[in-house]
Amino acid sequence: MDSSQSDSVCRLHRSLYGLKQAPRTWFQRLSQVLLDLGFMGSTMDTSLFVFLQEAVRIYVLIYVDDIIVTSNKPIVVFDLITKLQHEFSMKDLGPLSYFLGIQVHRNREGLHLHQFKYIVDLLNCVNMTGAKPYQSPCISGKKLSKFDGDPLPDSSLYRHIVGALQYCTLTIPDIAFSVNQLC
Amino acid sequence: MAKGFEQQDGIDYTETFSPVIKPATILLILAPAVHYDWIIQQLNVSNAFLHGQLTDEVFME
Repeated sequence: MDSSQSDSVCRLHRSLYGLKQAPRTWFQRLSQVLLDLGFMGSTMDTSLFVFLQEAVRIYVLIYVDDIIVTSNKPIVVFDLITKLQHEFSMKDLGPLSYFLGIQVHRNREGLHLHQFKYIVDLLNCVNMTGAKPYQSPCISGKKLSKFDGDPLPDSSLYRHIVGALQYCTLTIPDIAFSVNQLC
Repeated sequence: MAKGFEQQDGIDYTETFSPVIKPATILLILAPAVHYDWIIQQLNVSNAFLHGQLTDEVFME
């Protein structure tokens, strides 16, 4: 582009970070590649793709650029990764260990999911790292009222905390009732 | 970085959808994987948004 022509504009052929369309064009591209490989998009959850042929089944979960692949045949997983790496530059992060703030540990009994790091980050964010642990997460029979106490100076911080706590219920369903009371 | 907030309204402008996984789906897929002892691999796409193809005309200053 000639820098003297400051009125010029560029026509974009490829998507860029920051464009409104960027997430959608990326997802369209990725899902087309998977459909071409014989996957079916799940009708239950659009981020799930399933491959079912003869005795082979592969499940692919997509969260924007994070992908989980599992299959009853280990070899086809690596085959798929090779095919995808042919299309996109892609890092194989090995066995699932950290996904969307959830830590995953595999042991002989199964998978252990926890959000220790996510919770510590949340405590750090609200300066509550020194807070004492408590057996039950809320007082029974107490009804919360919006007229009690002083309003927070920053109400978006409250929403941030409650939203983060809602996410924590993924691995700690015990606190679901208490978190619900805060909403 | 394109200034998405300065984008002018036009065709394809409102179609910004990219799906997010429902938490239940993660558990639903992990359950058989654990039960049958399948391998679970994790991948990350570098510069994902640069892979998208624009179908409509978008101009940038």
